[in-house]
Amino acid sequence: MQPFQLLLALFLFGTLVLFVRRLSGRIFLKLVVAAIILCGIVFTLFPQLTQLLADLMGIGRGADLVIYTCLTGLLTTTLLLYLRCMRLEKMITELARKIALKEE
Amino acid sequence: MLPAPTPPAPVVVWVLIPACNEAAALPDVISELKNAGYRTLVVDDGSRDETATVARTFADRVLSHPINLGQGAALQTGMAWLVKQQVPFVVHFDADGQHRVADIPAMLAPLLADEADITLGSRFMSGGAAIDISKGRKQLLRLARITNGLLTGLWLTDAHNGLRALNLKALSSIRLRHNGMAHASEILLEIRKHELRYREVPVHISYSGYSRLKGQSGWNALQILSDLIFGRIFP
Repeated sequence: MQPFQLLLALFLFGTLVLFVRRLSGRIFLKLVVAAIILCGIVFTLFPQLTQLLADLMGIGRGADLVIYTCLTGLLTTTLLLYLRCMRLEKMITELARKIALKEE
Repeated sequence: MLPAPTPPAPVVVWVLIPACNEAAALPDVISELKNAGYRTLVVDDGSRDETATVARTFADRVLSHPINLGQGAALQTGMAWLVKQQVPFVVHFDADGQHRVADIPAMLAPLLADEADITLGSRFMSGGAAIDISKGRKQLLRLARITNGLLTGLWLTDAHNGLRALNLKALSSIRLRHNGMAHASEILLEIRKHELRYREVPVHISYSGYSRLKGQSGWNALQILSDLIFGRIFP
């Protein structure tokens, strides 16, 4: 085992603890986040496993598989966050407008 | 020549002025409008200066956004109030003094004659003028005009000109969802959607040092474009 694997695994574990403690009451989200991070920890400690999966999927290297999955996940998350931002902006606008019209 | 100015006295015309940090320019603009017989509504868009106080001293009505949202949002707030009052005619007017009060009667004439629901000011029609406009700005507007045509299907002689006049029908059907400066193009989309009768009217816009300082930089054009495109993809 390389030192970097240990560092990364520890970092991921820390994130896991943080997330699970913060997401109070949102069981489903908690489970999804926990599953993703656990996957990350397992793959960090046993990189050969990604190669196994990659062979199964017809991708050359295990690291490539990780990159593709992460990129797709990141893009999706970004888009979802963007949409949420737009929704929030709309709500803030409505709120500010209501205040402006009430005060007149 | 322009048609003879219609005296605004018998019909009530409200002038809607969105204002963000315009305390310096507002008194003159409002006084001139009031002297011409118009009612004034200022929407203070979360200004950090004395805009709200100044507006309350001079304007007939003032609405204040608690935070800064953008000119589109300010116009929509003003229009929401004016619809509630069932105001027959409304003019959109910039706070920075780049519009001319003397242009308003010509803007209103087609509405009063019931030939249009909304009129849009144009600097580039014959009879209109863009005073002290920079070369770059002129090119940018040409580009904006084409972009607007492609995006909205309305081919006008000018783009992103804040001077507009609306009757009650236009006022109550147009709804601005873009908070920022994309509202100028959005209004064109709304005109098409609601099949409003529109007409362009030549106007004079002066690019004083002040209005140039307060106005938009060329980079905002990119912002507007991305707002419009994203707005169409994610309504």
